[in-house]
Amino acid sequence: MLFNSYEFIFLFLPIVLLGFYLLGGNGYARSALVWLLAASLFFYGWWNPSYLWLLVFSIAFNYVLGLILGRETFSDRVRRLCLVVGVLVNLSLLGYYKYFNFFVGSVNDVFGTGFDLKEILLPLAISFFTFQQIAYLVDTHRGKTKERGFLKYCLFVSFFPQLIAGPIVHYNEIVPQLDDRKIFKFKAEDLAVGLTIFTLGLFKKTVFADGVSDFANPVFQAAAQGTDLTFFESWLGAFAFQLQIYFDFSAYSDMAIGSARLFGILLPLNFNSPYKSSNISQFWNRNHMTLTRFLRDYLSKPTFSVLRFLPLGDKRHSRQRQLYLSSIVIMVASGIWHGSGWTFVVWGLINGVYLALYQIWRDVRKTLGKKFARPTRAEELLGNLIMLVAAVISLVFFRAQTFKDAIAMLKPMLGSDGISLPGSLEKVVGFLGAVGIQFKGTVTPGFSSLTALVWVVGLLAIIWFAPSTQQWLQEYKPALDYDPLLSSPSPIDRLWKRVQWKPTPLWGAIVAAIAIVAVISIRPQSEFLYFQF
Amino acid sequence: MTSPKQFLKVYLPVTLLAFLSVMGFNVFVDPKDIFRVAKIDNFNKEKPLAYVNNSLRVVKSLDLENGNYNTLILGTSRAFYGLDPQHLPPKADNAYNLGMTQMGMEETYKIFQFSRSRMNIEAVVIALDFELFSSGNDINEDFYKSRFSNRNIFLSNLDGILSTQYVRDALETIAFNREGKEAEDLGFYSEDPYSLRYIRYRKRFDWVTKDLFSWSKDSNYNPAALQFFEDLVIECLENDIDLYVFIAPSHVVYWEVLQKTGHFSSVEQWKRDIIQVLEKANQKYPHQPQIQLWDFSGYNSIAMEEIPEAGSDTEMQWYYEPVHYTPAVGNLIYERIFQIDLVEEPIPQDFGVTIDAENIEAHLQQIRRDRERYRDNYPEEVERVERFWKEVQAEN
Repeated sequence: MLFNSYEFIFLFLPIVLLGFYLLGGNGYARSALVWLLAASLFFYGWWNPSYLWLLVFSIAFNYVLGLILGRETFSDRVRRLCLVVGVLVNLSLLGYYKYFNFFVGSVNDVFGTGFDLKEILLPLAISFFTFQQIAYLVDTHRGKTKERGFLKYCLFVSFFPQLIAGPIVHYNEIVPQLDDRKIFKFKAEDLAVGLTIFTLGLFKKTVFADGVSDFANPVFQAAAQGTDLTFFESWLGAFAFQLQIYFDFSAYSDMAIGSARLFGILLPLNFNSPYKSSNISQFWNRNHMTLTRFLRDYLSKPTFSVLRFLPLGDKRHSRQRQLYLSSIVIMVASGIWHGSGWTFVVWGLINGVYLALYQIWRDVRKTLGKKFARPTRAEELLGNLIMLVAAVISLVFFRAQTFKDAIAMLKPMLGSDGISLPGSLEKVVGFLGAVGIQFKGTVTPGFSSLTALVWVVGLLAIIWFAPSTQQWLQEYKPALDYDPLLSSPSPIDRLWKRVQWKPTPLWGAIVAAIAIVAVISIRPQSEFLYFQF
Repeated sequence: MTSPKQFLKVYLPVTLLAFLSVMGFNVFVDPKDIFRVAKIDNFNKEKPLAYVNNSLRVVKSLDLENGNYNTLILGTSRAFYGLDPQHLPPKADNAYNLGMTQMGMEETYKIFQFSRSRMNIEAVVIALDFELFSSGNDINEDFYKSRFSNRNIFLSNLDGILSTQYVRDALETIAFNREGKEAEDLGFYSEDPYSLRYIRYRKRFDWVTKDLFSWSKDSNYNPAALQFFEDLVIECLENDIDLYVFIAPSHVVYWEVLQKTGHFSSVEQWKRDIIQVLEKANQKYPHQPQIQLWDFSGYNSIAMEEIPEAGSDTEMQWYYEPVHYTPAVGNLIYERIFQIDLVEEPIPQDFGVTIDAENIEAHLQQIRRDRERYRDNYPEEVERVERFWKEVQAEN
């Protein structure tokens, strides 16, 4: 069931909410949790009931392993063995369902073999619940979790707002909240805050992400069909996709946080205006934050412990170079996590190289003395622009189905056929013809350059200058452990502070208007991009 | 005043009222013609969008449930766009066109059964296409939202009911009614298929040809579908329903596509199989009028209509693109089958022959010879189709 569907908004969510508070408010806290679990399993099964068993198996298996890992009566050796088995089983399931055909197809391509591919439908959310439970096993092995019963464990994994596409939550973030009796008592503030966050997310999805996809999809399709795109439209198409995925994921994250909040449960922030960052390292700390956190907490250490045996020059430089290499390895892993295809590997590799280049740059500056240790405001702005363009280029690989399609996009972007602008701009900047710029117009069907340009520029302005949902609601705990100070206020942010959201009738009317526009803009067939991962 | 309760007291009623109003408006105006609350003259009586959306089966199932027809036209979108029920002689005053896009034989049979359970059917005209018997043409999604599968129309068809597109469609419907225009009815779409209206012939031929290659290479003849055809024939014979069967015409470009994708021998076999089904049924019911099979397919003069060059404003008389023939061709078919006079010009001699077990092989031979003649006379067209085939293969 999609967050942006009528059945979710008008039936599922109200019914589940009503049931939860009717049971919980009348003292049946445990029944309220059972109700929530049943609703979450129904939510998952709505898409494909036959994969429900996989989720249930995964939950039961990891819970049992968690019991063993958490018992100190078992020897260290047994517990370590359980951890290794647990991680392997989780990764094997993910590997089979997500990567089997990718692996077999690659072997066939390289060795010319003819192994049959299987018809495997990717189970929804498998990448998310696998990582979430691996983190649980590791945390339990490290003695960081406290067992609170099977029901709460089930909900920690399957709680519907975060089940399908994150945030990838920690056990300790969710289960203590389920223990708190206060969540069972209806609070108008939770409903008002939750509805507002959900509404803003829905608006971002149906108006911004779906709207700008009208300019991304035709351009990528035309490139894939062998149309020779112009410089201008290929860049517009690539930027449009960047904005589509930005608002799509921002929307999903808001809707997850908002719908959890309706039940009085706070989820961690997953998306924090990443394009306001001034470098790629910051970007990854603000984009898909819970995935970055997972990779940092659970993959960095083992990666580095392997890489440190790789001699890369003298001792001091070797360590630094191992760190750079580790960034690349981790980003390649992130690429593979996102999708089972070589284009995703390349996307990860490019981002890894970006990250390593940034780290080299940062380390070189450090050696130049204190004066260069902190970038100036102008450097930050330049860094932001470089990062934005670099991200657009890497995302071409993320969006394209094949390398051929990606190259067909990148060639005109890099000016392979000269630089050509829409004919309509000739009147305004015709003098540029003197320096070889042409005005050939666009070749993609149904693509209006001017409209696309207005959309792209308008949405870029929003991602740079508008406050995030959480900044806007910062006085009302808009996410778990949300710290407004982390959002480094710029002058424009200080301006936005004056229009902070408050639970007043006026804001009720404004948010209602946003909700109306968001709902009437719902497109029946529009899924979230992150559902495929 | 900051109070979450005050916020909710505004937010909840405003949104609820707005959604109910939009839904009420869309349901009442009903641009897709599926809720049928009230039809008001000059407001929403005529539904210009009823046949041009993805709820065609819902609309037609309701038409059948609410109407009382005695003659049915069955087939794919070619029948939908090409066979005018009002020109049909058997029971012309009361015929309905049940042709729909992407029909398969199983769905056709189910729809036929649905119709029989609701009204007294006296005659059936079925336009056979190879696609009716091809894998891939299964039961369509809108079938499961329609009365054909006994669904509650209101609950099954609320998709997009709050969308701006629905509102725009409703407003377009009102504007259409206010201009006093009349929309298509009786299940027949007489206009140029809407999505191609603005693309001229050469371009649309090229476009559809490529599309046909993509479709045809992944689709195969499915002889299991013959059983549904046989059941339909037997039911007609058992219940004194006049049955008229013909193999629908296509532009030669389509036959060239099937040649390239290696399906043409399947088409020949399919024709033999159809004959076998009909012969068997005729033998089983010797006292009923014997069912004839007309074949309008192949390389006849209608099928070889010249395609105007790119940029030309010349209209094509017989074809919209390689697969969909115009109602003018539909009239020729009626003339030939029912021996009536609908068209001023004489029907070309080579358009439409009856085929049976005795003459089928000679007939197939003739088509093969006609094909050779076509390839000699139109080398550029042949080369063009071959080029598209190579392009489609290269894309995969």
